[in-house]
Amino acid sequence: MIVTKNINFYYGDFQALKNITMSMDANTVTAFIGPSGCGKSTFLRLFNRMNDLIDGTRLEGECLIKGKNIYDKSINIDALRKDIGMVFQKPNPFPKSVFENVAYGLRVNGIKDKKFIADKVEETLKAAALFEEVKDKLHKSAFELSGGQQQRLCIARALAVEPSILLMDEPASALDPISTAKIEELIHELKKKYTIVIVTHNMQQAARVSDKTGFFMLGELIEYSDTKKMFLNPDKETTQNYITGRFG
Amino acid sequence: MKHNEKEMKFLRDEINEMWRLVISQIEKTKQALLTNDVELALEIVSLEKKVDAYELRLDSNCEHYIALYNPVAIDLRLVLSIMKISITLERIADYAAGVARYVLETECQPFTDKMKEILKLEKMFDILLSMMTASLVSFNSENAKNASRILAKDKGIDDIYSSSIDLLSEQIGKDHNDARCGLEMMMVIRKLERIGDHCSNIVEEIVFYIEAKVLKHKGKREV
Ligand SMILES: Nc1ncnc2c1ncn2[C@@H]1O[C@H](COP(=O)(O)OP(=O)(O)O)[C@@H](O)[C@H]1O
Ligand SMILES: [Mg+2]
Repeated sequence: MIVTKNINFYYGDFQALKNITMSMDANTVTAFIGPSGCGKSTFLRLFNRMNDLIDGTRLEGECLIKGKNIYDKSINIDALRKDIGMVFQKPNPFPKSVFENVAYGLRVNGIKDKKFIADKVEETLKAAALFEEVKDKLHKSAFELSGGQQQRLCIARALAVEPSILLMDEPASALDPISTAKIEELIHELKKKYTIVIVTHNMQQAARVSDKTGFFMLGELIEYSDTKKMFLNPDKETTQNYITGRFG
Repeated sequence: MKHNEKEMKFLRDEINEMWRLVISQIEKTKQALLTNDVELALEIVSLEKKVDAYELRLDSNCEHYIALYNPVAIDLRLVLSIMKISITLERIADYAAGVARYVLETECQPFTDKMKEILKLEKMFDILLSMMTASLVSFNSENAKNASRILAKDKGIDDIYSSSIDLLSEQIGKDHNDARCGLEMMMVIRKLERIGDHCSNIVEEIVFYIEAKVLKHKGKREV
């Protein structure tokens, strides 16, 4: 689904990613773990070309999604971002109603059929395991929801335009354990339909939600394997030292 | 040392104490059986409770370690192997106490020197003791290199066990009046053979802990 080949990435002179070759499968959850500043978010942002927005950056290597190099000139960036949803660490709903947050992407894409939009909003809120909690507040401001609910709303907003890939950058790190558990449960549910890549600094979370885990350090991919293997019997000493907390 | 490392060292220390206690139980059992020492047999039976207490304590301490520290990789394998080893040590101690009870309760004549000789009782105990000691060394030094050598020793136990079946059934065939005592002897030897099997299980746990390899139910020859 997502394949990277010999990726090097630079912020000015600083090389944030070093020769990363990796392949992520469809309908699986891939987690990136590693100490902060190791390049997880930078790598994730490559997949929907979010790094393009930062001045002075440079990319070498290839990033193929569904077999196409997404950095090719022929790529339509809006279509790419529609196909690849992203959820951030801090919930960032628009200052609109719950309903309009989810409907937004549909409207932007030119859909006007009210019945279709209403059905789609409900369906998506259900997919994000939020509908029951907000069905009486659909027209209230999104900011009236709790942090965990806001985050699920952001997931719903991303899902509304029917992407095939969902990128999540520490989606639960600002949430309490109950909200975190709901998000993790949701991730399990969503992988049936979507390909999910999640960055987390919480190793136990990676262990709980992902099928495969990539361990990054100082811009390098140190180890990439099945999550079960990674947490029972990692190949590399460095991985073992990191996940058992033997560093520092 | 970090806090979780201290806790882990505590688990290691406890399993070490339990392991040594069980080794000394086997040493005493050897002595008690070979010299028909009733006093010593009583001591073994009373120390069995101490072994049981270690098992209960280790079980709950390992549970707490897992709950509080969420161990992964080698730490997880270590805690899991400590739990299983402590259960196995307890079983081994059970068999040793069973042999001690035989010494206390049997109405048969003690094993004659000749019987001890042909049943290779002393040899059996010595193999078991060397298996138990070598596996403890292997656990503590985190070195599974001699695992296959320890496992091979169990073969020696199995050989003695099957020739004992032949010898004792022949004996019972000759002297029907003594059948009961022959069977009781057989049960003692069976217990020693079981200790050997459990010792092999411990070695398999050590290999899992150190090398993350699963040897169980694979046939010991492949190791
Ligand atoms: N916009 C930026 N400009 C310059 N350097 C950046 C920028 N974003 C990230 N970096 C640097 O790139 C490295 C990787 O950052 P990041 O991908 O955010 O790491 P992680 O997500 O693993 O914590 C860090 O050293 C960080 O300082
Ligand atoms: Mg980050």
